[in-house]
Amino acid sequence: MMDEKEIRQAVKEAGVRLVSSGLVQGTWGNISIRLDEKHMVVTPSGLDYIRLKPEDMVVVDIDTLEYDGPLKPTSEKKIHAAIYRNRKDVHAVIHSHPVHCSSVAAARRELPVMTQEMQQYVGGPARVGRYGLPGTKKLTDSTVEALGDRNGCLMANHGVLVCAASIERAFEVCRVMEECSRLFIESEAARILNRKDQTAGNIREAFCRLIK
Amino acid sequence: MNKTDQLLYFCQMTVKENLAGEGDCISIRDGDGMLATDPCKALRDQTAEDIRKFDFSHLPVNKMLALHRALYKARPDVSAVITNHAPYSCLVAEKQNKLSAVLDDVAQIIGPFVRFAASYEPRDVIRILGKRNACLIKNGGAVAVGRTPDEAHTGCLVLEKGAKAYVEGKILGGAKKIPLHEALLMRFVYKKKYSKADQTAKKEELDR
Repeated sequence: MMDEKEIRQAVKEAGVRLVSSGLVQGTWGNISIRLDEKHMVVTPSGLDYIRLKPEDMVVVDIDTLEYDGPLKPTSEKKIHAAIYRNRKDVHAVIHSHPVHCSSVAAARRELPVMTQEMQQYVGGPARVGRYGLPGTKKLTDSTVEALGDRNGCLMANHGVLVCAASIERAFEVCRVMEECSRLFIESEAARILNRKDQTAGNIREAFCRLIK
Repeated sequence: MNKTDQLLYFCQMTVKENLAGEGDCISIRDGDGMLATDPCKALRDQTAEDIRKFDFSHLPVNKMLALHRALYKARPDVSAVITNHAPYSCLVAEKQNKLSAVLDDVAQIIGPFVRFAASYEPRDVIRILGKRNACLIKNGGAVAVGRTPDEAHTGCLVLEKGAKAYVEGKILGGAKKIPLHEALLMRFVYKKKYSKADQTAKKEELDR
């Protein structure tokens, strides 16, 4: 079991990884790791992960959402807290905006199981939560509902939310959902063009055909 | 990092993130002028020798540099300008006449919709850009500005992502627009609160 200092470090490192792996742009997205039954450590709101220090991470009460320290926790703390309250198996949550997942989320399409790996990591199709403004109860409720007992869901016009028993596993869920979103888009483009080959090269052509 | 190193860093980032094309240019405000990359050379090939200082009192011959100069003169808040040719931005600029925000981050960083300037002529771009951070050029590429190079870079990155989501969303049955009043609210919060501390710190570093 990691102590608070180690978890702060792990959240900071995960934030840097989120940016360096292209899963977010700028300061967007947020991460948390469960500290204990009652608390989680989350990234602060609106600051560049590269510049943050482990001590800038915020410890938040899962039930009351109270926190200490000068920095405000992420505005999506309510979603993170609700997941930890509902799911005792979850120890890490990531909300990010990878490009292919974002395209599927913009179309508000459920992401079907595209690979065996997706079934294994996500636990079924990734549902889409209803659209809500960031930080609102509507967004929290619809995201938690869409997630259910699975490990990933899409947030309409927003991005993706994943959870897992560890931060490493959560990154894997994120990677699998992004890969499957790409496959889904390419398969739909190939279907529009009535082609068997599913490549990124079909996307421009399929789009041009649709807007004719 | 000094300003030349920052320019070279953002050249590399623009290439790495697949946002670069032909005729791209990145500049940073420097006193009463700007430091800019050579628009006749690909961003991936830029070196410190290619970075030149342009005084605002002289009109550069190159049209892209003239646009950058005009943007700095029209927008005192702007400290960095990027003109680039990312693939999905160019596709949308060619095939569409408007691009609504279909992702939260587009609404926050750019606004409820991306506007299109008719050409790279400074008066067209300045009019269409207004107080916004980014726009598209009809049959051209993208223009992004920011209080810092980081903010301008994020603008062209998010614009490309928004264009990609629009194109791929069309293939999936159509991307859904974010309601106007909600997009406006998010833009307001981003400008007034969300990005303020981060961009203020980065601006202070740039000015040092």
